[in-house]
Amino acid sequence: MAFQSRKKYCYFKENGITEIDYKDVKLLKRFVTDQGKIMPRRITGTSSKMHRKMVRAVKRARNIALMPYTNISSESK
Amino acid sequence: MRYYESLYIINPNYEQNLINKIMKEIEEKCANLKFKIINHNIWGKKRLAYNIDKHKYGSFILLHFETSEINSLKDYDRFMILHNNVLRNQTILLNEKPEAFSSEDIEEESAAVDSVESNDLTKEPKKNKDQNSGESTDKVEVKE
Repeated sequence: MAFQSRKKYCYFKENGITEIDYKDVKLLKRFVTDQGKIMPRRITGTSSKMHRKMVRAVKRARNIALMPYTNISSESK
Repeated sequence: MRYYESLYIINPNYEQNLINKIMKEIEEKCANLKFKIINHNIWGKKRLAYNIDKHKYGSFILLHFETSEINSLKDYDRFMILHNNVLRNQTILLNEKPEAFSSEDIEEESAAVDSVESNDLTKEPKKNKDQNSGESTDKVEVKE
């Protein structure tokens, strides 16, 4: 049984997204863990340019309380 | 000219009249600072990701404006921070001119977002399981 790794791709490039809106929480939730931490590029596969934009959007969403800084709930424990 | 987007949160317990009054105050301040307002609408009442001043919910209000005076943005930010009724505010620079929309449009949009969010909340525990078992479902299809 040989392990085949999935080929990573940039979600934004694949879907033709060039600008990321910090108010689009549904999109940004794809790129954070259950704890609310931003996932690294090596896992999400996003391009470095879009990753930087995504990080900025997540931080803006956190500041205005649309997304959590941490999400340590009873479910995650 | 530069275009800016300001999103601020107001106490969710306030009635419509009081919200309108606060919005007028902010519009007057913008007029004093020579900001040209493009949009100023209520985005909706939403649950906050974390409590702010012991509030679990907040009324989000979206303001788009244009100005060429960068120094007056500091005054605006200071005004918003010191405003007792504003729980939190954030102003960002936009790359393009925002489209002018009516309050009805934004209400429909926020209603759609709320419905999606509420669906997500109900599906969230299942979603994680689906993500984990995403590969297994693909494998099943291959077997067939």
